[in-house]
Amino acid sequence: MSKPLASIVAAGCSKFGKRTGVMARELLVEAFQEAISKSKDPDIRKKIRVGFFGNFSEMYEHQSHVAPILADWLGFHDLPVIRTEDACASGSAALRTGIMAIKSGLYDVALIAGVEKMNNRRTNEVLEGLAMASDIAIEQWSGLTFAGIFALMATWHMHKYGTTETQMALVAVKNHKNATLNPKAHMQKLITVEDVLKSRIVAWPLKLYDCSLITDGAACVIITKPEIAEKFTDNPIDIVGSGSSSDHESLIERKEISDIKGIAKATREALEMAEIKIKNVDVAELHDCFTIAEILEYEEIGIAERGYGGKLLEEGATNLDGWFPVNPSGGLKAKGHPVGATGIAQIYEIFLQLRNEAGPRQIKGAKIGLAQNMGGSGSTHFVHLLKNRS
Amino acid sequence: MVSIEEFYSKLNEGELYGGKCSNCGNITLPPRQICPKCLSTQIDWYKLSMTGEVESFTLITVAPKNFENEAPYAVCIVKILEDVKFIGRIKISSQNEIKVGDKVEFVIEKSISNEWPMWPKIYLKKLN
Repeated sequence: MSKPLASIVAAGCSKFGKRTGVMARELLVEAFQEAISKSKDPDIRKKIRVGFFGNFSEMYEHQSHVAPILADWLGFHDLPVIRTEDACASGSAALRTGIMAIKSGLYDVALIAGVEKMNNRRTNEVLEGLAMASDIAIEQWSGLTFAGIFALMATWHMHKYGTTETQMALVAVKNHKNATLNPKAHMQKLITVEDVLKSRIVAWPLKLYDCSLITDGAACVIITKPEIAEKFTDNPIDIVGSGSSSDHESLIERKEISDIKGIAKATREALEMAEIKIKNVDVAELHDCFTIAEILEYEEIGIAERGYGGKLLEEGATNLDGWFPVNPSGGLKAKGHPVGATGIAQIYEIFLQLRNEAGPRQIKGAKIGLAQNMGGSGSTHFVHLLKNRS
Repeated sequence: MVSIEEFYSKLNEGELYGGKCSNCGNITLPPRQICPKCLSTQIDWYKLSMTGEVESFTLITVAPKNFENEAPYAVCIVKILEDVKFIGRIKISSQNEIKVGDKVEFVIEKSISNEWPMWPKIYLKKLN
């Protein structure tokens, strides 16, 4: 096992949901207060030397330039700050940038945060904002939504490999079930395959219950150099691998439109860095922005052969008690998808799992966790591997 | 020199041109200055057929704000040549009205917008 890149010493996450009457910065205060309360150093706030803030759209709150404002609301008035924007991977972009900052030796303690307040706008406006992450020269101009982009992948995967709407529905059923065990999840509602199949079409073959939620939320972690982590907590979680990649945003440029090759590349990079095999991962949070995405991700990270992702769901392999549990938090599908916060919220869940703090959804004895987050149609990619010190 | 604006102005006149790399022959839509395959910058205009076949499609019923007056509609990825694809939409109200492999023709509606981007709308018509 290689030396860790950095260590997570504290993590916090706001309640996810339609958070009426609360601004983005206030959601982040909620997450930050939880994070610092978990450190054994009551002065951890004063040890933070730099902040990286993932946030996607200035359209939702009519607010760009969020980094200094978010820092200010957390009580930092003189902190180097940077905002990262990589659409739905904005949070993980902040984490990877933070890891680089620690690993370079420039800083020893960094705050990594992600936040999005989406519910100020009506649905068509939220979709317009999200669609801005697709390519204006090609796909935005065609009237595609992100559900539409993933639907194009789904139609092709159904046509070529025989993936079914029922298999996609099983992703939603599983993740909704997991979310009922997560008090911070947006949705706390068990659903059936029938419910998914009968829900109204959003972008056929994707229906309402195939889509992640328009959610308000924030999450943050505090990371340090590995050798000082135990000053802040007795149970640090090491970041042992970080992989990243990019690809064409437009599907028309991809030889096979349902291949999201960047996931495979980023996963391979993270695994090689950590000297870990995918089969040794105990728990994973995957980017289930739409049900089809989780199926394609099984194939890209290497737990299913190409075309066989759907079969894993039929076998229950990715359930909480399966051989490769995926999205114990409820995922983007049911925990919710506040775009800029999502990548960090995944890390928060893995942090809890590896510290045996995940309550009724705890994966017993989890030692190694994987978080996979992507932007747009799968054109920016981040995969992180975390490990506890037990 | 190829450009996206010029690509759309040609399309506004009803003609679909890609960019063809004079080094490796790769065709891109819209054209780009740097060939994504061989990185050559010798790119020439190349006229393409206005017909192709549906490689994949989706029926959009919940549309972004700028398109909500048109919904429902299907958006299709259309294969024009091997590895040369483009995208267009077709006014239908059920996913059963179209299938992978259907032959379609691009139908261009000239831009009437005064706001950027002043590009034509790209529709599809089914061919029998």
